[in-house]
Amino acid sequence: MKRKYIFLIICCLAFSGRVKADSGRIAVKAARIFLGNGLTLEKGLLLIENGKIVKTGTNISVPETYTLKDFGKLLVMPGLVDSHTHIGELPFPDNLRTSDFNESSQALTPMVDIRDALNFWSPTTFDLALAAGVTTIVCLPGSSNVIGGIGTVVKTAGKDLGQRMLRPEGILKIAMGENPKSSGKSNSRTPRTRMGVRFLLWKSFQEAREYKEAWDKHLQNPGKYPTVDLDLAKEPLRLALERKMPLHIHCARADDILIACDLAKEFGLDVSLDHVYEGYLIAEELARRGIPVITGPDLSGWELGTEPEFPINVSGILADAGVKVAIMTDGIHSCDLLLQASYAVRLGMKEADALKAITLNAAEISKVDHRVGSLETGKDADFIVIDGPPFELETRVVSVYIEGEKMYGLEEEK
Amino acid sequence: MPTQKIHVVKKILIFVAVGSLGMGFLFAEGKIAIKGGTFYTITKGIIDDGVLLIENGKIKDIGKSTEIPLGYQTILAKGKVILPGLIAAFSQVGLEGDVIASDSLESSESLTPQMRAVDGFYPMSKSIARLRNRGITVAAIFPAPGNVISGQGAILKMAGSITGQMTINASCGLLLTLGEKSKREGAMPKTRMGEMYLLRNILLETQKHMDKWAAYEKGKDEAQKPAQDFRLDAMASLIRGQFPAFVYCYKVQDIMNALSLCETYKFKLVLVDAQQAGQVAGELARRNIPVLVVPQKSSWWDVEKNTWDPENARKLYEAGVPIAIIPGEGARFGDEELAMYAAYAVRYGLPEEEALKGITINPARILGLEDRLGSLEKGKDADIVIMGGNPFRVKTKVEKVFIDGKLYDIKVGT
Repeated sequence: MKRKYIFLIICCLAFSGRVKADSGRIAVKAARIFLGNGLTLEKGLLLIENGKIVKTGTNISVPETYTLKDFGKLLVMPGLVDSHTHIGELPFPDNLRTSDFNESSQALTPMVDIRDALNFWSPTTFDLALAAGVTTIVCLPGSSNVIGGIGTVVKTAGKDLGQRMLRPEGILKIAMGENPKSSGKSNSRTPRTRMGVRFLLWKSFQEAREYKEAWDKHLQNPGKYPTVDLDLAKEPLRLALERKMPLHIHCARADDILIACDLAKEFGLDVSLDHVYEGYLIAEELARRGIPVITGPDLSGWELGTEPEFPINVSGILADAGVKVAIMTDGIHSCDLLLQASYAVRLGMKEADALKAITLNAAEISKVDHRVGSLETGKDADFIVIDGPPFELETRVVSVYIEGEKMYGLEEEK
Repeated sequence: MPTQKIHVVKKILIFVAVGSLGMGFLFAEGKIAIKGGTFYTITKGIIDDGVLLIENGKIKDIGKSTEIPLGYQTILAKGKVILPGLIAAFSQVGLEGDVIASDSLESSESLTPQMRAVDGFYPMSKSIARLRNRGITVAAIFPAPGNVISGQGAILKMAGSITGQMTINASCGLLLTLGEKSKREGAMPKTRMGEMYLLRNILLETQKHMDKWAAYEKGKDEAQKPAQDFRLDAMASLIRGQFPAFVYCYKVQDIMNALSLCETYKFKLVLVDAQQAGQVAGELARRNIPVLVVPQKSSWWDVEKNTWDPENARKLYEAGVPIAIIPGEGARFGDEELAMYAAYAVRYGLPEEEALKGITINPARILGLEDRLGSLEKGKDADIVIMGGNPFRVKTKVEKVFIDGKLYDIKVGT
């Protein structure tokens, strides 16, 4: 009985809060609305209620109960989704020396969770990402460790932290190649070679598989099989083996990428391949395997040993081959996702593919497309207003809305 | 009858063949006319549908109705945009050796004014073509920031295979770094106080060294002849005004430190990547101190990123400070995108015309080469870029590059 009352009170509180934040329903009108799912509305309209999109179209009449926001000649697109960042993982302004994103005391740290390191309160890079039009980010542990820990997906602004967290289940960060190697060298431990990286990965997942099987047996037949000791280092891997925990695998060189693919196949994991600078060398193979990739960041150097003679349209080549591509900033301080996508377009990626790479594809890969990534009925009304074609270098983000609420604005829109 | 016809055809063919051979010989002299298109002369406005003549590696003439004399190979450029070759005012191109070996910073000591970038330059570096393919014809290469005094820069053409032949000026300035980047582990400087002490001390030593030389020059007493000192000789060149100090600094406090040194020792000063220079723009304008601006940070991390101001270029220009635009730091992939970085300055409020000057005539002036480079004017070096359209559109490509009148192929990655 008591519980029921508390529940009712919470509901009332939540509801009253909502009504205030709402201050009516909103109709958004703009010269062009990119929905993120491949469709574009010329002179489009979005109807928003309680922070959710309830209708999209071109020939909808605005109901009287809706407040009209007419952006005139400006363009609207979904809030951008950056599928691989380190935003919020170190104080701002500050430097790498006070970072909290590599628990490099050991090479395998699946037990650590980036949510314990995220700083939402002092001025942070969340604001920079927001101003760049990025409304959803994937915050991952760093790449010093072969298994870095659990990452999460959050919105870049909003009052309610619970509401901002889109994926409490987490995403597991794995790193291959030079980064864990160099950490191994500087800490005098495995791995110091790619052989070491592969060994640690297979060992970890093999042990986790045995752990999972012991749990499975116990859960199916508690009488016959004893309970298993809870192991915080193996739990995230158990979830990964159950495909409840997707993996972001940092891999740059073609051989690392293929080994990551093998890991996914052998243990039945749900993975995305991050960075994939040499992915262009094996584009067909990646398409055949059907594993999504997150490319970038560009313009700040590639991973040691992978830089080619001339700039290569990695994102475009992979998208053309049929691979699902998202683009990242890997941002710590710099979070200009549009810049990264513009550069991909400059090198030859199709604009439609580039748009998806920073909206719907990114949301799908990080398993948050039920809420963000496109402007479709039922999803969060996260959108940005821009003053020119999305990939033109001079185009500016004029304002940013999260769940129908203006979170950032350059100037008053006309 | 038919045989006669064949005979005539043969005659015509021979005539054409001999004729074209002759023409070929004429073309081989390096006389080229670029006809049609829009010429951005930079210093003398825009010439629509003009003609530019190249002879002996120089611009022989340019005008709206310049006649093309006999013997010129004509390149039709209708619909294209013709610009002077772009100038990278601060680069580490060619100092990267290959991916792993780097010759960009002699970090064994904090003060290495005797080190010359030109001695670390690798003329076979693939990066040279990478820059040229994006329209950069001249680059000022500097040792990397990191020492309080890193060493001397050099100005090179982005074509050739012998360093000496590519070099315009082997000693164009001295690179100093103030702030976080030149702090060291285990030795001075650990603070800005240490940095300034080291600089004051070496400047004092230089003054003494110069006094000794002056005394010797007066008396010519061989017993009093000072020993040659590579470090102090380089510093003496700075004090004598033979080249400016390029000071890499982000924060206002570092900028003001640089100004105070320059006031005491009266050397010429250029600020590099002075992210907070906009805050003291009036002061810099009054002293006519040029600033090399990075309009868009793309580096995923940077120790002093929090000082970055996207509107720096606009603020400096409006205050009357001479500015040149440079890409992000160092010999990193992406440093070829000078035009793109200039477009980002436009995004943040710099007029297009000024952004163009910022990658052509302004760097030429700052490097003391305005009589040879930076604009399409009679008598200047025939460093010319033909682009497919407006240089600031994201998809605009460089189609042809001339350096000293020689046409270079544009090679782009897959």
